[in-house]
Amino acid sequence: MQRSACIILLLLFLCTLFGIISLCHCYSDSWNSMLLGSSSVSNPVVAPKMRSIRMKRLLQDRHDENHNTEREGQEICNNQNLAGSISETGTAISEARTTNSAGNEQHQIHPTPRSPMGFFDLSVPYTDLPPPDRSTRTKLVTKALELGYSGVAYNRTIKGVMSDRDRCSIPLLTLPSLLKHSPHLTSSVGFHRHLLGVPRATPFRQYTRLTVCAETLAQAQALNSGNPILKTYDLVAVKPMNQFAFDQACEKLEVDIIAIDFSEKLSFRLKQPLVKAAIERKVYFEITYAGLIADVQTRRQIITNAKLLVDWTRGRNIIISSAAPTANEFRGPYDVANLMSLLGLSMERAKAAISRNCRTLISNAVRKKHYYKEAIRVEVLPSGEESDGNKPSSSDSFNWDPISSGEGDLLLDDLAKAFSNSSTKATKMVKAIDFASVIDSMPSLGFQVNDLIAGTNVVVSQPLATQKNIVSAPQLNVQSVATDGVQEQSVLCDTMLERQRFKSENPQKLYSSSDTTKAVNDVIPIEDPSITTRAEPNSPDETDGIATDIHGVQSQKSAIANAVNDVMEIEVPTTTGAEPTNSAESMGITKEIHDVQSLKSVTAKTFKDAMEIEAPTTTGAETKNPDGIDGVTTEILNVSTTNCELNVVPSQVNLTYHALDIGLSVACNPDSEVQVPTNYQDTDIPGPHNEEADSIKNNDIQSDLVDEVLTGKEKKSLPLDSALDKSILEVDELTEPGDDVVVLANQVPVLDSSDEMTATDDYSVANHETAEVIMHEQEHGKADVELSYPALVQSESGKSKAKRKKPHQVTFLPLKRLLHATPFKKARKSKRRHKMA
Amino acid sequence: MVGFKNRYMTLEVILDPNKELAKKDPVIITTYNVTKAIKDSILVNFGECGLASSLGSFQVKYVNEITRLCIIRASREDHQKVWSAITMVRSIADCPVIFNLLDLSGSIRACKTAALKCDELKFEQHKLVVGSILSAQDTQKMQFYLDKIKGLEH
Repeated sequence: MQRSACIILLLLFLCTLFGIISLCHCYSDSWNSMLLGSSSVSNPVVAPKMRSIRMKRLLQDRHDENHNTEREGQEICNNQNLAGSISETGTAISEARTTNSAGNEQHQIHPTPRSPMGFFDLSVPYTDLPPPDRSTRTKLVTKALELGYSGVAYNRTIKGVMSDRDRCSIPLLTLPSLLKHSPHLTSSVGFHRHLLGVPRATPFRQYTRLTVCAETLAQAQALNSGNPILKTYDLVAVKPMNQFAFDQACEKLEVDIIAIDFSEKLSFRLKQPLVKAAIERKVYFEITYAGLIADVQTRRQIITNAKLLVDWTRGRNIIISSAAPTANEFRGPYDVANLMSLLGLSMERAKAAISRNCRTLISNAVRKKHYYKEAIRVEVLPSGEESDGNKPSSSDSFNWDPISSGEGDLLLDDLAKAFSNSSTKATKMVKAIDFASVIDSMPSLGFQVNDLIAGTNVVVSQPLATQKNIVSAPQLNVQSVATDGVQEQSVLCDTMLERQRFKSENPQKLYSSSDTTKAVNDVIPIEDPSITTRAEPNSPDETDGIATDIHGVQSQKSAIANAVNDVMEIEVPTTTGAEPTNSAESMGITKEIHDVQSLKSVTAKTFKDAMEIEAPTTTGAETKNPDGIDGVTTEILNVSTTNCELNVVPSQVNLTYHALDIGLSVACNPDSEVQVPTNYQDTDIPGPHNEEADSIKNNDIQSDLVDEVLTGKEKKSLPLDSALDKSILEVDELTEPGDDVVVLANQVPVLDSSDEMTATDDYSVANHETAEVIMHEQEHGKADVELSYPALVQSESGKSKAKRKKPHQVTFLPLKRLLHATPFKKARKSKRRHKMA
Repeated sequence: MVGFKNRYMTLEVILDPNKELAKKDPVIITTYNVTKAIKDSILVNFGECGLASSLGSFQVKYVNEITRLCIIRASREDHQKVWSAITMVRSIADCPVIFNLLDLSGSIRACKTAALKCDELKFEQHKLVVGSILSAQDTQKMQFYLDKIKGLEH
């Protein structure tokens, strides 16, 4: 029970983290580093190997229900998201990120299309004056759009005391007004974007920004996060006028940008410790370049003053914007980057300053604005449907998260059409939606778990639906779809975790987990009649939504899910549950809950397919499934994270599935463990084993563990302490009663790849080990499961019960290799594993 | 080995970004125009010595007034300075302009391919803007210019 509870908690954490991370714009380097660091936590949804590995680690770490896992998972997911979103290809974020670094400017003016980040100009002056000003602004924005910028922020400056009149009332420009100014915008934009390496269909975003001139203490104190007026703007900047204000701004004020007017003689000193403090707080300094172009005297001042800033910050945390009064002072992104070399900024940093840093800033700001306490998305949009064109999920998953500026986003539909990129956009949007659906389904799983606890299978479907609904409801714009996804995931994770916890407490988890798994399966468009409906849509959606990498996985997952369903139904509740969970998890990890969802479904399907066992025992399994499902769901969350890792590791769709499955199974494990032993022993172990063995490689692993656990330690070996662990184990066990011993042994080693478990046929030994392993596994989360799953996946051969042991072993070994190979890129993970072990 | 390296920049000139002046073609871009504007900018921003040191390799190799494309060569050491100076050019003969870099390459060959591509694309845009008033003369001139690009040498 403890374990299940832990698992649930972990899952919740993972989910929330994932959501948060996904929200955050991962583009920034900081994010990248974070992700790398927090490998353990990241969501299991991570499809790429790295992610899965990370996820595994996270899961392991999560064992303690640390919140980090969530964050990590999220980060990982974010990474993935970022990567994908940016390039509109949904590539793994991590990969994308690494490639994000600004290309060298030497002979390559055009960046390699790794993850093309858009260019932003975060300071387009805006005043309250009537129309003449508006036309200037329109011209400026048109020029910005033409030159290839991806977003602007309208800057409003106020002095003195803020009053309620200062609420944001900046009208955002619409595409028709821009087209009026420049009828042939489309071709020009496309041309320039192509040269810059920015995807043509990237929406043009508009943000609102407020710059507050701060002089006195009172004015400075108004700039806190509780100020409602500030909340109406996307970005908040402070313009310190004296030393005191600058000190405050660097250390205390909750602003995004510190905008110093360098064109006048500075009335205060830029002290290094202050600047350093500001950098650590992730506040960005702004340099405007219009003065450089406009006037010779101004030029002199700016270069003198800004050089100081560049020296102290060493080029970090700087953003460059125009503050151009007219369109004459506007310049293209690369030109601006080159101008900064006059200030001593290297080309690479300058390029980052107008793209990556801006993006980070925006994503952070948008996240703050829309998410309450960075976890709950506040907006409410039409549930997960493709929002209007203004809110494309954005080419990259980032969009959903960080920088969708709501109505301000100019989708450039005509441009999109012109470039025939609408499909991409649509995809993205779809993705976003999927995410929501995934989340929806996810929670439902969670519900199911609860229900399952009650022992009702039906729950599975329902909760999923409910969750979906819930998720979709808050989903909001498509833009935020990505974000939503994240959120949802987090939400789902939370819910799932909670549910899991709930489940774990239930000693009957096995059945419930199995049910859950079943439910999951059901949810997943698996053949299972129940719930699947939801799963179905989820899966397909998810596939889209979830990182591109997940696409394949998802489909597979759904397949797996189906398969899993079969498996589950076969009576090996644990395994089946594990399968779907694995799949789900594998999926989820990547993208967030969506992924998980899809994974589950996928895995379920795949399981079905793989298994083709048709689940004779399904009925039996069903009973178990509920428990399993419950466990699975809880596990799923965790597993998903782990699955993600797994998925990453095996780099196979199957693996991902397994990850999910594992998750599921994990979830089920605790339950299944308890029940599995009974089941196995009592019921036809061979039957379920076969099915499971085949379809659920993961399950096998788990089941092996489970088996081992079962066999070796009887029920007590069940590390039921942690629901997750158990579920995993149980799932495994359930799946392969026959091979349990062997499987477990195998699993243990596999799972404990980090723990250096060696596959032993010695059941007793294995049992003990497995028990421990299981414990660890569960704690580590799906990492093990993932490992095992990959093995399982690999060994997706129809394993008969009798042969189960053998195949398991076989599968494990290769899996192990796989497992060992991939995940332990980070010392952390291995450390964790060992620690767990 | 060639010790002396150059950089070839392909730029486009955006005339009258604020649409303040008269409609069509406030000023015709010529080699001379552009050279003068850039040299003035270098002089103002980098002084006599800056101008003198970058003048050795500085040359405007190609200007197309229809598509408003130009190719400028600068030495490798000074190309960033020259580029900054170009960015800071505000006007050409009373017409506000924006120089926008499209491509930077180290060899004339790469520059030629990039410039050809850009030129063609820009000509398509020009045709869109001009609409049906496209004259055969323009097309002919374009052909001439494209050939000129192909014939560029360092």
